[in-house]
Amino acid sequence: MGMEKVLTKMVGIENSQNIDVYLKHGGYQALPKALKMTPDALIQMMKDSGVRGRGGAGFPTGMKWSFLPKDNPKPRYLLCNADESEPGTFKDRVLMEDDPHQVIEGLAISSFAIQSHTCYIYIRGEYVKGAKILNKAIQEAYDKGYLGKNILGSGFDLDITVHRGAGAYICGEETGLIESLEGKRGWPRIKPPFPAVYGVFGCPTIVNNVETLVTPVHIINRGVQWWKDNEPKLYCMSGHLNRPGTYEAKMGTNLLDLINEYCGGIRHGRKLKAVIPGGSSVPVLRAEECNVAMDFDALAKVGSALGSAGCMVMDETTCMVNALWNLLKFYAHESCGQCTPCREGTHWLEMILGRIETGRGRMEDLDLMLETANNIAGRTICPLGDAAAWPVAGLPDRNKGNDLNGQSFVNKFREEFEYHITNKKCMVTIPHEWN
Amino acid sequence: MPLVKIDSQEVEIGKNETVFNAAKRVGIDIPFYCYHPGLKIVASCRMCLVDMVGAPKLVPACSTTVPELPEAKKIEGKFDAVIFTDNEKVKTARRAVLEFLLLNHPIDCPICDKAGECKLQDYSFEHGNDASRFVEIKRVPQKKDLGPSIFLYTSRCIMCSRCVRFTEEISGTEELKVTYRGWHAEIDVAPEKPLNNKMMGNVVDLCPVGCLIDKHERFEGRVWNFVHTDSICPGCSKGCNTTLDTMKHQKLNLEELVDQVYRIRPRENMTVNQWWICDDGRYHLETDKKKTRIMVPHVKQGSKLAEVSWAEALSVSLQKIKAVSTKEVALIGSPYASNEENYLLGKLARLLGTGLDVSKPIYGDTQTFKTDKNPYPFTIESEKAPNYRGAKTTLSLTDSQLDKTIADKKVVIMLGSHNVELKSKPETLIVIGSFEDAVTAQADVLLPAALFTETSGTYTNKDGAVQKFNRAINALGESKAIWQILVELASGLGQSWYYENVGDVAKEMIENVNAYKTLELDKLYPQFSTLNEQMVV
Repeated sequence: MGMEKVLTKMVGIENSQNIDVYLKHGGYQALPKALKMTPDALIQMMKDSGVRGRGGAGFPTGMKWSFLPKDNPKPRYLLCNADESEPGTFKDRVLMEDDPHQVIEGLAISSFAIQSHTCYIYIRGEYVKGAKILNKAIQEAYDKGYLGKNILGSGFDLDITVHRGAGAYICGEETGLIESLEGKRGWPRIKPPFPAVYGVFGCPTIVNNVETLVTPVHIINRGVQWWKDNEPKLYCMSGHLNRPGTYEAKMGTNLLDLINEYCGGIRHGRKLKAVIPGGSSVPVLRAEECNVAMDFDALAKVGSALGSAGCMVMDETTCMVNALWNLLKFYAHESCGQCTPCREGTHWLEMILGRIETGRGRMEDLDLMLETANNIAGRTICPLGDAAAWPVAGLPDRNKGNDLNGQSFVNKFREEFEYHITNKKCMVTIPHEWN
Repeated sequence: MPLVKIDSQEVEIGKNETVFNAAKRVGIDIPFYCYHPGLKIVASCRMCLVDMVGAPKLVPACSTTVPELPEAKKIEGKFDAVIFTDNEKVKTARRAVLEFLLLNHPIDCPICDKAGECKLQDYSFEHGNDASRFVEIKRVPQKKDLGPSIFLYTSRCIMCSRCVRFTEEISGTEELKVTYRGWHAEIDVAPEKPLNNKMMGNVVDLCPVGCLIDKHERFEGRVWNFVHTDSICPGCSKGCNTTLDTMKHQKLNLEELVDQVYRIRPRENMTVNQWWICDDGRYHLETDKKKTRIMVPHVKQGSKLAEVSWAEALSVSLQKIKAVSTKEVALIGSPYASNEENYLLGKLARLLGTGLDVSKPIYGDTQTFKTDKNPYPFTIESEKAPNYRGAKTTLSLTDSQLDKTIADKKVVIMLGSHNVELKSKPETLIVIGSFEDAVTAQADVLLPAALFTETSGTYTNKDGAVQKFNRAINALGESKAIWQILVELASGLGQSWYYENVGDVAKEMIENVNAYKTLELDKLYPQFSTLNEQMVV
C-alpha cells in the first residue's frame, strides 16, 4: 500500500482511454526511446530485467524473444494474448479497458524488439467493451503516428489488429490461440516446432500475455535496475474478501498482506481456509501455508505456482469437495477433446467428484482420483491436462519420476473428502446467523 | 546420423525420422491410434508415448525426432537419445490411455464388425486392464448415417481424427469435422453435406475401431473367418493394389459352401496407390453383381442360345474354326484379360496364321484428388480397363482396329466383349466372356470365363508396372480361366501345349515378349505353385 502505481497509474483518471489524457500523464515516452535502440539491445534489456511471462507459465520473456530464428526470411508476428480465460484472473481486462494506450505502446516496443510489423491482439470474446476501447485507441494511435507506416520517423512500420475470440479456454494456450487466429478449431499444436520457429501462418511468432507486453514501457522509462528493485505486478484478488479486485503491488508481496491490507481481510471477519494463488490451475494452499511471498520462486517452494496471479481466497464456510468439483466442471467443459487423457480424464474426475459431493462416493475414489490425475498430467499436448490434474493432486515432483506430489485438494483436505464419503454430507456447517 | 538406443537395440535414426519409424525398422512395435503414414501427425491419441531419457515427460514416438548431440553430451558416450518403449512408466501410461478410451466405449464387440481386427480390442488385450474402474453411466451418442455408404457408430469413436484428416488431406472434400468439445466431441458431417465422394470407403479402413462401418459390409461376416488374397483392382488402368477378403459361407437352405468376396481393401504400394483405393474399385464386385453372369457354355441352336456341356461347346467351336481357312479367322484379345491370357491368344494366332487384334477399353470419367498436403495426388483413370497397355504389349499391337480386322473374317473369337460394337456380325462369333451383353446375345458360342477374383495372372498398368493378382475364390458355375479355355482350343487345333499353371504361361511369356524380359518371375509369382490351377487337356 502506498506504493507508487505504475501499471495501473491511469486507473481512475477521467477519460484515461483517451490518447491526450495518456500523453498528458507521460504516455508514449518510452516508444521513441525504444525506436532509437537496437532490437537486440531491447531483447537484452528484457533478459537483464528478468521479466517472466505473466500469463501463467512464467517463462523468461527475453529468452522467448531470443528464440526467433535469425535466418528465417518469413515475416514475424507478435500475438498479444488477451484471451484471459483462467478462472480467477482479470488483470488484463483492467489494463485494456482503463489504459489501452499503455498496451499499445508496449505492443509497439515489443514489436520493434522482435522486428514484427504485424501484431494481433487476440482478445477474449466476452471482452466486448475491451475490444471496443482498444479499437478506438488503436485508431487514435494511428492518427497521432504511433502506429502505421514510419512510426515517429524511425522507418519502423507496425499494424495492430484486434481479433475477438469465440469463447474457449483452450484458445488462451499459445498454439491453440494461433490455430484459432488462423480460423481453425482451437486445437493446440504439438511442440516442437515452437511458435518462435513455426507459429501463425507458418511464420515465426511470439505470443505473450498483455501484462508481459506492457512491462517494456516501464523498464525503458525507469531503467532495468529500478525494475529489478521495484517490479510491479497485478494481483487479481477474488473470493471471500471484503474488497476483491485487481491490485498492483510489488512482486513478492506477502499473500497475507494482500488479503488483509489490500483487500481488507476476509468478509464478515471469518477465518481464512484456503487460497488458490495463481488461477484455478495451481495447487491450493492451506491457511497455514499462506504466509508466503507472491512470486514465482517462493510459491514454487511451497508446492504451488504464481500462474496468472489469480488469487482465489476461500473462507471457513467453503466446502472443498464442492470447490474442487466446481473447478473440474470447468476443465471438463473446456477440454478441447484432442488428447485422450484430458478428454476422458477430466470428465471422469468431474463425475467422481460429483458422486462424492452428492453422497455416492466410495473411499477408493480418493486414490482413484489421484491416480487419474497422475494419468492425465504430463501426458497431453498442451498444459490443460496439467491444469486439471494439479488442483487435484499437486505439482510434479522431479524426485519421484515426475509423478504428482499429491499436495493439493484431495490430500490437503482429505478429512473433508472422507467425511463427505462416510457421512454423505458436508463437513462444513454454516451457522444460521451467518446466512 | 544420430545413434539411438531403443530398448536394448542400437538404431541409426535419420535426421527427420521419428522414433516410431526407427523402432519399427528394428522390429519394435509401438502401439498407436492416430498415427498413419499418409496423414499429418497429430500425436493426440497418446498411445505411442515412450520414455526418453532426459525428457521431463513421456514423449509421443510418432512425432519425436532426435537431433544429433555434441560429442561431449552424448549419452553413455555414443547415443543421441536413449528410449524405452516398454518400461514401467510407459506401460502405466498405455494402461491409462486404454482405460480412458474404454470409459465410454461400448463393449459391443460381439456385434461389432471390427471385432477381430480392432486396435482397441487388440491393445486392450496386450496392454490394458482386465476390469473397468468406471462406475458411472456411459455416454451413448446415437449412430449417424453419414452418407450413401457409411455409418458412424458415434459411441465407439476414440477421436483419433484419422477420418477427418483423410477428408482434409487426401480426398480434399472436407466433409468430416469434429463437432463439440472435450468428452462430447463427435465426428460429424454438416447438414445436407453427406460424406459422398469417390474415396470415402477409405475412412472405414482408416478407423482403428468399429466406429465407421461400411453399409455394404455391415453384419456380413466376421473378420476371423476371412482369407486374405493379394489382388489388383481391374477398375481402371491405375492398377491399385488390393486385398481380397474372402470366405466360404453356407447358402440358405443349401448344404454347399459358396465362395464369396466379402470386401476389397487397399494394399500399400507407394508407387501406385499409396494406401488408398477409390470406391469404384472397392465396390467393383457390387456393380458386377448387377450384371448377368454367364455360368455355363452356350451354343446357338436356331435363334436361341442353349446351355450345353463344355465338350459340346468346344467341339462346336472347333468345327466352326476348322470349316474355314485360318486366314478367315480372327482372334481378338482384351484389355480386361491378363497378360498371360492375351499372350496365349497371340501365340495361337501366330501359330495358326489368323488375324489378331485387341478390343478397345471403355473410357469413362476421370477424377483427381489433390490437396497441397498430399504429395501423391490420387487419380481415377478414365481408361476403365486394367490391362490395355499389357494387352497391346503382349500382342505386339500399337492400336485397336477391330472393324478393319474382322471385316473379311468368317470366324471371330473374342476374349470378353466389353465395349465392343460390331458393325456386322461375322458368320461365326465365339465369345469367351463372363457377363451377358449385346455382343454375347449375338454369339454363336459362349464360353464362360473366370473373373479376376477366380484366376491368377498379371496386369500391366498405364505406367507399365506389371502386377500380379491371385486367385481368391473358385470359379463360379462352370466357368474356367481364359488361359485354360485357350489351351483346350489350341489342343483341339492340333497344338500340344502343356502348362501346369498360369506361372508356366508367365515363364514362357517373359521369355518371348521383349518388353517383359527384365521381369523377375520369382517376384511376380512367389507362390505360383500353390495356385492349384490344373490344366485340363
